[in-house]
Amino acid sequence: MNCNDVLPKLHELVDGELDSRTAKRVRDHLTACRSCKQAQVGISSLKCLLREKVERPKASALLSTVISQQIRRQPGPLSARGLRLTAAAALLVVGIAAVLALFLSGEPRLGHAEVAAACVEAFYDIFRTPEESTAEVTAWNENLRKEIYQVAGITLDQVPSVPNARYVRWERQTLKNVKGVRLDFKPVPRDTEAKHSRLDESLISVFLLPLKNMRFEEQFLRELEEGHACTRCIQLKTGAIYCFRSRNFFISAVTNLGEEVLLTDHLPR
Amino acid sequence: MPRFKEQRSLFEETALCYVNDLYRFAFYLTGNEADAEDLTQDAYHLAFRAFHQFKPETDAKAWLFRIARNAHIDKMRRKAREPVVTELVETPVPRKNPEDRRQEDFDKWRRLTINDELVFYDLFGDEVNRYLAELAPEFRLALVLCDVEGFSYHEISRVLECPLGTVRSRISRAREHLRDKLYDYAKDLGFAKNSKG
Repeated sequence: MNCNDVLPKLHELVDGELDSRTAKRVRDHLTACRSCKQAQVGISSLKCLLREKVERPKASALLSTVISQQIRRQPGPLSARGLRLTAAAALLVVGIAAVLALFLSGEPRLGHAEVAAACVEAFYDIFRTPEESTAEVTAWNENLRKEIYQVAGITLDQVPSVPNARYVRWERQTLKNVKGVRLDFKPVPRDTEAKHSRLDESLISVFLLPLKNMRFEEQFLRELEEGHACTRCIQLKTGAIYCFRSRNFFISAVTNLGEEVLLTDHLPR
Repeated sequence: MPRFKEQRSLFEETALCYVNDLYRFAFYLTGNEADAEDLTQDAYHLAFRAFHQFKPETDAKAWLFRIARNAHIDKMRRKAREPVVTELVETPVPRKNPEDRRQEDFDKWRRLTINDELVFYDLFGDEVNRYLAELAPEFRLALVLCDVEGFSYHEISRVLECPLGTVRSRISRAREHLRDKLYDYAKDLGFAKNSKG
C-alpha cells in the first residue's frame, strides 16, 4: 500500500469503518510513513475537536411531556384512522347543520352546545385553510378589538396600529377591570365539558389552545408582535365567533349572548 | 393490529426515549432551538402516524431521524426557501494532479496539528460551530452524525438516504472544509504552522 492508496482511507480508519484486514495494512503503512501518520493525527484531532466543541443543545424538560400529550390526543395510526375520521366528519356535519338550522329558524339565542359545535367547526375550518390574507386577518382583528374597546371604554387612540406585546399586556390588564368581560389566556382542555363550563361563566371566552408548545403565553405574545397571527370570523344569527390563529396557537373567542350578557348591543348581529 | 392504546404505549416506549437525540438532530438541521422544537414535534407526529410501517427489528433512532429530515425538507420546499448554499458540491471539483493534491492534503492536515494539544483544544470555541453552520446541510449532517453522534457510515446512509460512497465523500469533504477554515483562523491568531515543514 502506498500513500496514494492510504490517504483516502484515513477518514474511514479514524471512523472505524475499515475491515480489519485493510485497517491493519493501513496501520502498517502509517508506522513507516510520517506524512500519512501526521495526516491521520490531523483527522483524529479534528474528530475529537468536533466531539468536544460542537454544540449539543438539550431539549427542554417539557418537550417530552408535550409530545406525549400530543400523541395521546392524536387519532391512531393511519390504518385505524379512517374510522375516526369518518366519525369526526359526521360530528362536524351535525355541528354545521345545527348552526345552519339556527340561522334558518331565526332562533334568537344559541345554546352552549351549539356555540361549542360551531367553535369546533371553526377550528377545523381554519386548519383546512391555513393561508389567510393579511388584509382579511387585520380587518377581523380590528373589528374584534374595536368591539371590546367600546365595552371597556378604551379609546382608539390608545391602540397602536400593530399590537405589540407591551400593548397586549396593558389591554389585558385594563380589560380585567371591566365587568362582564373576561379574556382568559389560560389554556383550556379540549374536551367539550370544559368549554361548556367556560361558556357558562364567561361573557366572552377566549380559548387559547396551545397547538405545539407549552410556553404558550410568552410565545403567543411574541407571535402577535411579529404579526404572525390571523383570524377568521363566523357570523351567527345571534352573535359571532371570532377565531384567531397564530403560528402555534388557536384562539376562538366565542360570543355567548345569554340573558345576562352585557355586550349584546355592541356585538355584530 | 394492536389496539390504539397498546399502539400508543408501544410507540412511546420505542420512540419517546429519543426526544433529546431527535431534538439535537433537529437543531443541526434547522440551526435554531425554536424551529428544532417544532421539527421534533412534527417528526413525532408523523412518526406516530406511520408507526404501523415501522419494523421493530430496525433502528428506531435512525427511523425517527429520517422522518425528521424528510419533514424538514418538505417544510423547506413548502416555504420555497433555498437551503444554505456553500461552495461544497457533490460532484468532484477539478483537481490538480494526484501527486500535488496528495502533498497539499498532507500539508494541510499536518498544519492543523498543533504540537501543544491543550492549545489546540482551547484555541477553537464557537468557531467550530460557526464553520460547521456554513456547511451545506447534507454535509453538516453527515459529519455531525459521524463525529458527534457516533453513527456508523451505514446508519448515516440510512438516515440521509444516500449511498455509502456519498456518505464517505461528504464526511471527508466536510472535514477538509472545516480543516481549511480552522487553519486560517489559527493562522490569523499566529498559532498555525505556516510553512510546509
